[in-house]
Amino acid sequence: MKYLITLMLLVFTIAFSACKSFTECSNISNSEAMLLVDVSDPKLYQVIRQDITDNFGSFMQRSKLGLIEPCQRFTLRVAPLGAQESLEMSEQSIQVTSKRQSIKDQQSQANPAPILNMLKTKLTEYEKLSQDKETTSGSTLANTLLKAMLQANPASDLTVVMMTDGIENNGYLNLYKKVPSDEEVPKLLNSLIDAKILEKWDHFLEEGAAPKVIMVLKPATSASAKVNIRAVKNYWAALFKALKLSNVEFADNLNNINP
Amino acid sequence: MMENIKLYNAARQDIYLNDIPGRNEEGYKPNRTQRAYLNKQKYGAITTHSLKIQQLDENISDLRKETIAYQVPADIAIAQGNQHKDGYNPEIEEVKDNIKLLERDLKKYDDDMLNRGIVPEEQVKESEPVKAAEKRQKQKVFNWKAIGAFLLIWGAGETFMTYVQYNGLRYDKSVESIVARSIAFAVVLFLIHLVAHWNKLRRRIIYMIFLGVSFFMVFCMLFLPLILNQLYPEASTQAVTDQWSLNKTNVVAAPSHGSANPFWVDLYRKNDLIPGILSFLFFIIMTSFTKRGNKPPEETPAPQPEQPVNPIIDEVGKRRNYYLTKIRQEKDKLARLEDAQKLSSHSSTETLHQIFRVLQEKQKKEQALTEERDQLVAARQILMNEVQSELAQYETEFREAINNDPVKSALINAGWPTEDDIINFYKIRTK
Repeated sequence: MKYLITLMLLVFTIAFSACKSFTECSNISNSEAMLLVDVSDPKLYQVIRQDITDNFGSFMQRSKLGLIEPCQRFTLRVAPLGAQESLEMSEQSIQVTSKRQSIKDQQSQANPAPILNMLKTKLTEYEKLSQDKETTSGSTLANTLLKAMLQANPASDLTVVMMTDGIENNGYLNLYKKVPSDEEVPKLLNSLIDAKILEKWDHFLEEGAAPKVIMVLKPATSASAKVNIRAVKNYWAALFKALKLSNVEFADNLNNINP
Repeated sequence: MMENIKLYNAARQDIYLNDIPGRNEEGYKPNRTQRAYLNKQKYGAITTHSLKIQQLDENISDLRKETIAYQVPADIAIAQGNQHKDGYNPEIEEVKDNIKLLERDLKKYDDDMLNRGIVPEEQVKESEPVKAAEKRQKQKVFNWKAIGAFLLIWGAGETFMTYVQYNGLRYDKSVESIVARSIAFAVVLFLIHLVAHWNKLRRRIIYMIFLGVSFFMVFCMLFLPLILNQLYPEASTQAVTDQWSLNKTNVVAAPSHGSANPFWVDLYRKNDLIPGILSFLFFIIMTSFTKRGNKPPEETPAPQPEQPVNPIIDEVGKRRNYYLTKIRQEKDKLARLEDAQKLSSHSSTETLHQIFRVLQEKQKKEQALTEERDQLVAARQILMNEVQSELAQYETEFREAINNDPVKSALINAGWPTEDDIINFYKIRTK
């Protein structure tokens, strides 16, 4: 009898230890989010920073980006939007590498602390950037947006959050002076966005990329020029349409994003 | 028409030559013309057919005689079969009578015993060594019914407990741990059942200690997690919003390695199979250091049971056993005799089958000969009819010829042949 029981336990132990496929992930799915923060104006930046501080948690919960499932990796990339042409992107990932583990262990693996620490650090850096004259001399939003999206994996689920007033102010377009109509926007693409970027962008879409863009439009804070926020919104809607981005949402703060 | 003219001329010739057909004491005498027709080559077959018909008749007759001759051996074979069969009857009857006598004696004995107040046992004790060994062998087999009942109860209980506690269990435990926990629980329950069964058969202190410890382990496995959660609660989970909020000064950090709980609390929480393992170890130690004499004496029957509880009952049982054994032996003998009786008629049956086959062949042969004979008779009759027709035609022409000669017609009295005359001419037999 005892030998039978011992044998049974031995068999079960071997069986469980041998069943790695029971808990190991055969492949990891990717979920990416990109936070583009407009640093072209210090007052604007303060508004944006406050919005992130107050509502980032609820945004992550409502958008379900904060729910990391087993065998899933989440990456958050952060980049500033300003007058600089170059893209300075920072990223941090968390992932859950096993399945069928306890919920507690799963939550431990999905602890967002590294991402939040990175975000806090970047927000502090961007505050300095927002006070830099070179950064605040203008804004190249569309070009930087495409550059940033091209950094992502076309196969992953990408959500881009642009926190900006939406006012392009560069050598090619100045929305303070004139907001182009819907018909004029497609013609502006080639001048607004680098040709190589556009070419890469077309290829990016062909590879199956379908990013979701959430534009958190803040009112312009410049005292010298008043811009109709609705016109700005229409401009961006037309621009996104010209860029073949169909999954676009506009909001006024992170808490008002549709779930 | 031409034939008629020829006949007419022939008749006139015969009348002129005074060659008149007629009958005398020797029979019918055909004239030359009639003879010419009767002797036609094609009518020669009448004689040939008749000879052949005669031969066939003889063959058929011989076959029939042979057929009749087989009746004797057939009768003999049947008689022999019956004789053999009947030969067993007296012995069979004798055995049947013996069986009746024995059954009557057994019934009388049972009635006597009942009158004395002794209820005879229905089942006779087998005293053969082989049967006792078989019984011992059977006892070694697992009681699958009990095992099945245990598995059913454990399955139902464990399913219910897991379903009720799943959400709580799932937070702290992976799927592997939950399954291992269930198995450990089942093992402990099984060991409790087993040792309790052993204890019923033979009480031992060590068994009772084991049962006490195992029940305590089961209690721990069921209730200790709940008690510990009350005494040493774990940190509650945070909502996703709170986890991702930047407002908190203390961002959710990785779990700290240190814990304010006593070591055994964390140890148990991480290794809740410990009670099951301890129970199992206890069981192994117990069975290793205790003797295997845990079966009761009555489970090992002696080859010759020499310890009757009641000598009278035992004696009655022996007596009944004697009667039942004798009855069984007589019934076996009866079955053997009846089988032999069936087999004994086998040889005579074979002979009859052979005779039957031979008779069948002869019957087929006779049928063939008869058909051939009938065909020949029909062919011969056709020829007979033809020759009669021609002779009748000659008669008509002859009469006409003689009617045209009034002188001759008064003097001539011709005779004409019948079928019998024709038969006699060809010297054949038709009957």
